Amino acid sequence: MPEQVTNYKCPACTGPLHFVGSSGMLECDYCGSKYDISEIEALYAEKEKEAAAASAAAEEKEETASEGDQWDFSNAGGNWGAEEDKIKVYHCPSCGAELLCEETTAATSCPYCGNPTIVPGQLSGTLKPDYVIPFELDKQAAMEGLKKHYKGKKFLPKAFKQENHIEGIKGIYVPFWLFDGEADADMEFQATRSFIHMEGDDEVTTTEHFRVRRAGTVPFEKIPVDASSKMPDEHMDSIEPFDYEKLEPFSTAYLPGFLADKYDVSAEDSAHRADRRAENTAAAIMTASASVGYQTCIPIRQDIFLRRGGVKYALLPVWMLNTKWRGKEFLFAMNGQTGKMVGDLPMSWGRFFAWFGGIAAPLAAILSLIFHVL
Amino acid sequence: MKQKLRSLFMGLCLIIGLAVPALAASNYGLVYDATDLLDGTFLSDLNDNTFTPLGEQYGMEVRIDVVTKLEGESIEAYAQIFYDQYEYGYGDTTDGVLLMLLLHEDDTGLAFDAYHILAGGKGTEMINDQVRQKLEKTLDETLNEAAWSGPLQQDERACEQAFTDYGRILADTFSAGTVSAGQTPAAASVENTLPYVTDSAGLLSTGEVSALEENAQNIAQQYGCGVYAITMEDYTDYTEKSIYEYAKDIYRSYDLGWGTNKDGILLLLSMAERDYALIAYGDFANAAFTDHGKSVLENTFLDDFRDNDWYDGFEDYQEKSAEMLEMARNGEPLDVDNDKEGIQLTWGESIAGGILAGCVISLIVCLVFKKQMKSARTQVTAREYVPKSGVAFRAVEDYYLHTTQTRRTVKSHSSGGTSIDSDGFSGHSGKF
Repeated sequence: MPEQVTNYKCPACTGPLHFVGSSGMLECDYCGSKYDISEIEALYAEKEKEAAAASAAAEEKEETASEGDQWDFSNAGGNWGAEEDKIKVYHCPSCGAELLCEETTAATSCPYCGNPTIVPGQLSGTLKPDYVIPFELDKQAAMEGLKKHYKGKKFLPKAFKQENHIEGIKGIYVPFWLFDGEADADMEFQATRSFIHMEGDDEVTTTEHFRVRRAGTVPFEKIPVDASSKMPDEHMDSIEPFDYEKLEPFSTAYLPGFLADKYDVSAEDSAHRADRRAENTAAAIMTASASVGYQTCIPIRQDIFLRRGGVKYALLPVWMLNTKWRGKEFLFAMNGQTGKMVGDLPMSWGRFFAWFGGIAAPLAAILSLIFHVL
Repeated sequence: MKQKLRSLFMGLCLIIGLAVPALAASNYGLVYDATDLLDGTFLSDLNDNTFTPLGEQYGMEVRIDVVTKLEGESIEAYAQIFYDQYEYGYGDTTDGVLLMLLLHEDDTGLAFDAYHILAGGKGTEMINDQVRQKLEKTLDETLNEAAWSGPLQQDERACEQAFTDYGRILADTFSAGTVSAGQTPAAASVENTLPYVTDSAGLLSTGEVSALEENAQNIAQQYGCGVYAITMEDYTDYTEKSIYEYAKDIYRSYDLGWGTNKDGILLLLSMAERDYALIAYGDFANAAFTDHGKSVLENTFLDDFRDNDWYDGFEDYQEKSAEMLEMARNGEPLDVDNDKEGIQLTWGESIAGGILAGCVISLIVCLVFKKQMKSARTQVTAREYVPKSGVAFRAVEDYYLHTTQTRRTVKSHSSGGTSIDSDGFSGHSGKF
């Protein structure tokens, strides 16, 4: 279990560094210095080496430390019990405070000094993500996105907008599995096309019947499935798509200033969601192709074989906003790259019926007049 | 020469033969009883209250001749001789019907031998095969040897029953499209030989018939077009055709219509199955009563008839007909293009339709708005993750199997005008 955490400090003033999406650089809030990701990575690689050497020297020294009675820590605090595995304790490298985090937390901020903090062990070794898409939109953009999300929602209770205060807004790098593969589809359809002509007073409908077959391979690249059980699937699905052009090889240097979780749903457990989406898409593509030129096209046979390919692990940027209204939690998610905001809103039935009546009444009056005059 | 003398002698014998029974018989006007044994009071009533009114009402002379001998002729020939010799029938066309009954005296009273029904003039058209069969079927029940085998009183009862049935069936037959009650042939318009309202089904009072008749006469005089209405119990008693075709038969048979073009419109009601036919004939009538106009006209009376409100129905029929004739006379017959009222909804219908349509549209709009409130949904496809040129089809096969054909008759939507049959009639039929 890693007990050491890292926060990137400004080499110039030792202030905390944050990753800023708009510039794609790590920036210091205090002196305004900006650093390239690679520059900081190299600097901290050197520092880690030095820290390892210093640590070894300290251990030697500790062995020769003063003798005497020790504090009895045996009764300090109780046992975590079953929660022990889920809670991890780290120390903030900036102020030394203890950080209690969930086992999946990979990046957070210190509640005492506010410094962004990385838990390197969470994202290293076999758990290390392959890719990351850096945040491009900041907190302000997320708040504006939420306001924009409220706009045009006719049945949103007025009080919700007025009384509503965002309780929490977090920029989170959400773990996603990205599935590559192919769907081999072979489908048969019963299709018809009809022509109508008149013979005297008879309307004659001539219908041609066809058997249509479409078979082919549909490749898929990086179907995303969120790997965090804490993130609602509907929200994570709905903020898609991400622009994969901007996928970067993973570096913890992108994480300062944001939260990050490691996956807690394995790729194997997530695969069925990717499978279903691949199968449905392959079937839809075959059906769309078969329907061209026909008026009806009904599938009568469907064989879809999935050739599953590689799976990659990526952290994708998501702004999560939550608010409470009349005792009910409302959760919104915004794609930290594209700005696409989703989240169900409360419904005012009073406004629904007001709108219904407001539209129906004048419309009924106008239509009545039109019906009577015509 | 010998042959001529023989013929002259035979003719004289026949005249004398015919004359002798007449002298010894009872003559009640339209009823002649050679036996002089039948109930004179009944026969007199029959003449006065049934046959004479029938003649006056329908222009048809209805007669019964009871004879005791045929002078060597068949009963058919003897009846024809009587019809011709005594100039039976009204008018130049000798319109009438004769029932000749051959009886003879026996020990108990009278005995039945035979009977024959002879029609002349327009009677030949009215007493068609169907009517004749109906008559014969009814008369056979009482005009048979068994019925007359008893004492004279029994004979008289059989006779009364037969003669009453004969008069009733003829009255029904004539009323199936002829003259209204109280109007004599002489009083009928010069322009048409039959009146405008005939209520054989007894739906109207005498006063109502008179009022409608008077109104119809005024309309005919004003617009030169007859507006006829006939009710009857069951038109299928007289024809196997449809009521629409039967209405045409009546129109033709009774020479309905005004002027040389025979312009007129006829509404025929048959009560048994609540059938009706509405037909128009003649250039002016066909122009005045367009297809759309007839539909409008029907709507004015059908609701009354469905409520068994007969007088109001006929009154509305005449009133609307007059209105449509007026429009036609002004050069704008009621049709699709100029019928504001026909297609115009009432305020109630308009408001009901407006509210319904308004609510439906409003509901659709509100449901669209409501859908916007929910934006988080699980994705079931992954179209965005298929490379643009990535789909590779290895089989694109379209096999033609067969062709099917379905056919349905589409009722053409008239853009106006009148659909006229090849026989010059227009109209249609239905139920009320």
